[in-house]
Amino acid sequence: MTELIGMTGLTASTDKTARADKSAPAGGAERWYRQVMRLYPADYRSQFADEMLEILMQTDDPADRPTRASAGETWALLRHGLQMRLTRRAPRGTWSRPGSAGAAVLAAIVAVIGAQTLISSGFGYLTTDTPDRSTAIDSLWGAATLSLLTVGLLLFRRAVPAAISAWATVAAGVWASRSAFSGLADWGPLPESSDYLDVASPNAQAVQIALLVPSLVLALLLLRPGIGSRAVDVIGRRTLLQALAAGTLTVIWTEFGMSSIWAPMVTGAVLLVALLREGVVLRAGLLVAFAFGYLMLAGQADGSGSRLPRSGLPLTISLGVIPILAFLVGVLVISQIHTGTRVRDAVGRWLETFGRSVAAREPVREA
Amino acid sequence: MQEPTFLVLTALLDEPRHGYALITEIERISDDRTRMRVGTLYAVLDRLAGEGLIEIASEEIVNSRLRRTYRLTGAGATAVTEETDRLESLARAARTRLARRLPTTRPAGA
Repeated sequence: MTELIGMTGLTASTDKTARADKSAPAGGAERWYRQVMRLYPADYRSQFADEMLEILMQTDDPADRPTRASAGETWALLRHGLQMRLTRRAPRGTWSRPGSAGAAVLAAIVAVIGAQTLISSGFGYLTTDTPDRSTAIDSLWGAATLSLLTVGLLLFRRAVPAAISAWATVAAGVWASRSAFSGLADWGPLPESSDYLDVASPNAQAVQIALLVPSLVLALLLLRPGIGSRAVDVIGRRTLLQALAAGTLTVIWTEFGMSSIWAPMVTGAVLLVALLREGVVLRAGLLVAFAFGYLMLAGQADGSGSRLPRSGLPLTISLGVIPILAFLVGVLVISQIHTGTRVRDAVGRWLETFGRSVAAREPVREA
Repeated sequence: MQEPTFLVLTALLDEPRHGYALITEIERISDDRTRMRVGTLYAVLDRLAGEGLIEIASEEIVNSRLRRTYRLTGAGATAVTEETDRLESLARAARTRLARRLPTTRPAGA
């Protein structure tokens, strides 16, 4: 839980709060500054507003406290208050480390799925009996290759090329799935018996589109500076390589009859250990779960057919609103958990100082 | 490093200071040219503490209000050293070029 304690250097050691001086009536300037400072995030304000206000009202002669607020000070408060509200909301490390970890996990799983596409295409190409052997090659081979490139670039901390490659993966995937998209309007309820091997079946097309979402989430994550370059730092290059190797070995195994869902699962399991170790499992896990949520909706996970409704408004709601709403609720729940932890930490610190002061008052007698 | 950042770090070089003392000290360092706004100062302090360049030295109650004093960390001192070296080499380069330029471009009558 170091992630929580090190929130920001300033707030770490401040469990005492100053009591505002209520005896003196607040002048117009003071009231004005207090109003303006409401722009600051609440936790920052509760710790620093009094201190800042004291300086704002301080002059060399205590009798000559300013009665009119200064425009320059007001402007600085507005500017930095807004800036802090926008940027400090997620204190350094709160979402950026889980974001990096989530990007690494997504990149690895997407790459393993890519490897699966390429390897099964290769097997198909070698073993097929049909005269036109190229039909055995998956149309997603381009996206698959690019997804391998992305994880490779992340392994070497090449954040910008990795982001470009991730977006290229999305583009190639969308291009290869264009027939699935055009078929989107015609979907009725998807058939219960799911034949994913039949590429033309609506189920397979739904899965193909759902598989684009993890690449898209990864590409979006990599747009944030620092996410790509630190992916390897959080997960660890060795762990990432192990996860990729484990996934790829499973892929080869799946060519001899195992369910194809196992390869990404194995990769995910190896990386889950890393997430637990780094203490980012909740937030990074939420990102990954959201990315693969669409696959669950498409019915790949339980194999019992999809629950996607008929096209139109219900489809828009189930694909557009529900997963994003679930994601937001997840974010909210996690931030509540973290608030709870902060309270617990504060109580712990208070008990510690209390214990120390009791110990100081009653010197221990030793023989 | 932006100038407010550099000024805050420099004002903390000799001793830990609280907010108001920082503002007056920065005014002194800059020969009364910079009167730092409170909002600016606290934004800089927040960022520097996040980066581990400064830390809270003490918290005491003065006139029933909490007063924090801030001090430079080892990393902060290193940052000031590096920035000072950089500024010095820039200033040196400018001086050299100024000296070379003066004889030919001195205005008439100077």
